[in-house]
Amino acid sequence: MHRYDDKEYQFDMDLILEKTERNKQWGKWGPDDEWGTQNHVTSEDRINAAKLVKKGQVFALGLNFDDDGPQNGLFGGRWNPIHTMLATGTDAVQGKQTVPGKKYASQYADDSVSLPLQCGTQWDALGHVFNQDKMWNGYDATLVGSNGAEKNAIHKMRDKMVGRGVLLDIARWAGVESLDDGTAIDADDLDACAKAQGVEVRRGDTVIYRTGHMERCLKAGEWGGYAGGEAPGVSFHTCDWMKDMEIAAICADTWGCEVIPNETDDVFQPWHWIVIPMIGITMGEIFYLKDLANDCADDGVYEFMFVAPPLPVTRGVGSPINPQAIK
Amino acid sequence: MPHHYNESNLVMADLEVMAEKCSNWGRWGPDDQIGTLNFIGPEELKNAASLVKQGKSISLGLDFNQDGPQTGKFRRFNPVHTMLATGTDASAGKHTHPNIQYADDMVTMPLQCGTQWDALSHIFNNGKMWNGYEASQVDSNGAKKNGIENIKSKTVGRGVLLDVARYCGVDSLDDGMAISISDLNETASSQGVDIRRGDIVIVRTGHMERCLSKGNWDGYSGGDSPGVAFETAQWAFDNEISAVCTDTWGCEVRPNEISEAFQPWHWVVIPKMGLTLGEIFYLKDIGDDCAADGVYEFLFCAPPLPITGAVGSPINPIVLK
Repeated sequence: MHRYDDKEYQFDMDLILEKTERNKQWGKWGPDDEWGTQNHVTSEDRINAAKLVKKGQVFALGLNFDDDGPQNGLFGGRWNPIHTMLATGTDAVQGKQTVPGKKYASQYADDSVSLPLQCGTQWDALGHVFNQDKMWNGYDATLVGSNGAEKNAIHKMRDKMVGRGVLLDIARWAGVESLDDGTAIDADDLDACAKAQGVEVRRGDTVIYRTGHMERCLKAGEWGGYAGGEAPGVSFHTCDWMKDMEIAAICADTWGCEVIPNETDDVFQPWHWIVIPMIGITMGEIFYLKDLANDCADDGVYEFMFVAPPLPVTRGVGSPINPQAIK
Repeated sequence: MPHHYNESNLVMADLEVMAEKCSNWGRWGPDDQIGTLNFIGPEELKNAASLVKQGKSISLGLDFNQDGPQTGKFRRFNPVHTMLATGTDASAGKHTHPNIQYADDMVTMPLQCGTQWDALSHIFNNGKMWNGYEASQVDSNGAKKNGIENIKSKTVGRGVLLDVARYCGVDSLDDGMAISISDLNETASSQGVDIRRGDIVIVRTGHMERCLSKGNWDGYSGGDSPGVAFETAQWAFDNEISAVCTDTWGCEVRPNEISEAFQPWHWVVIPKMGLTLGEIFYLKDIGDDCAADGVYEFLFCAPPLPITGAVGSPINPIVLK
């Protein structure tokens, strides 16, 4: 691990352009592909993932969606979910819910929500980030207009995001409750953590790494800069690892997976520039990992069946989710 | 074979009798908020996972968009999906501060506008909800008891499809056709599948596919529909199943089998039995797949969005065979 401002790791636009070409896998699954690295997951992988269910226990990795969520307007004008009732029990008990033609009134509650699709635990769709006006598989960024994404939308993934999950508990491996903001995780750290945990990262895996950042905020009762501000996370230099390991998805307990401040002043979220549009990786963010991590530390088993179906919002570029890790 | 609904089949006293017969209040302690999902234990879950034999993943979620089934009735509308940032903006050079080209979006939606779970706080019976909690615990701030977040890790288990439409040899049951206990048992038996404790039972009527192929939802949301008969509440109770899901708006037959009240089966199964209901499921692909391979049991996983205090959740249920 290193600090974001360690001179040895600092870089400029030239390296981003170099890694753009180095990690470009457009066309790998044909010119019409909109699944990217989810293609790494085979039927055999799903069968094997189900065999990891040995205790019969489910861990929900979704943070509750409510007005205490992490959004505070730092990035993109995102807000926390606004949950509004359309019908309530208080109405019901006062006989307000009469139905025309029925002698007895109904008694029910109903509700609605208004939320940015990436305000809490979520998938980024492959249409979420662009690199030089292009998105995954070479599609033009302009295919994502006010009507949503004509290509690489989240609803194309409706039966994906199922397979073997692996937790890399970087914070625990490093012996801390949470990594400090600005701490960058290297590829060597990912490998060493996996080794120390006795787990192997394989083609088609959903790799989930824990920095402790969310738990630090929850404990403090204050999100601070969690959503868009400084954070621990993977170094830009892990982008080769993300491609070469042939993983299906990468997820973290932070807002944006990568270290902030970034290791360059030239662009914002440089790792995103590479991994989503060029590698075609599915990214999960704001995962709640405390319960799963405690269990993994307890039984020493860091692999599990992972199922995190997105809401198929037509032409959406993200989706709120409640990922399930089943052991 | 399913029979035509009879609006004078039931009176209010019948609902009250059934509600008492099928009550599970207190069964899992006075503080329980998950009801029949308690039937899924570690053994049930492990057995469910052992059903993944072909590595197939099938989604039962209808896409969420403005072409959904809602009409505004009950103040429910279809999802309004709005972009917060676009690729067209990015390509026009608008995304320089901060310097990243991206797209982002939001949605406004009733939680039960599409494929969804009802939370146990969705329906009340005589001013009470599941496990005896007061209905007034669900106010403008949401549900203080039985909110959907309580089941955030609980909707995983053995799923069984009962393809009643296919068993009856029709593309879709007609509106007003009530599926009886014997219809459910005969469908299961003809499919060679048994119903076990803790199962998530998914009933296909063909109603949604009828609307999709016509390109018109008509009265799908809240209007006439095929669905389970009132008596099946007893079946769900006796079989100790954990959830019932269908490809209709409201699971039960409409018009209802009672003239005095709306959705009588709901009055019993949600507040008294504590049964989790799934509605507006897209069952074409799973129906075709089960008919093709003859396997009607699978691992079912449909995590709700844990919206704190919510009385429902949109979902994308996944079936693994």
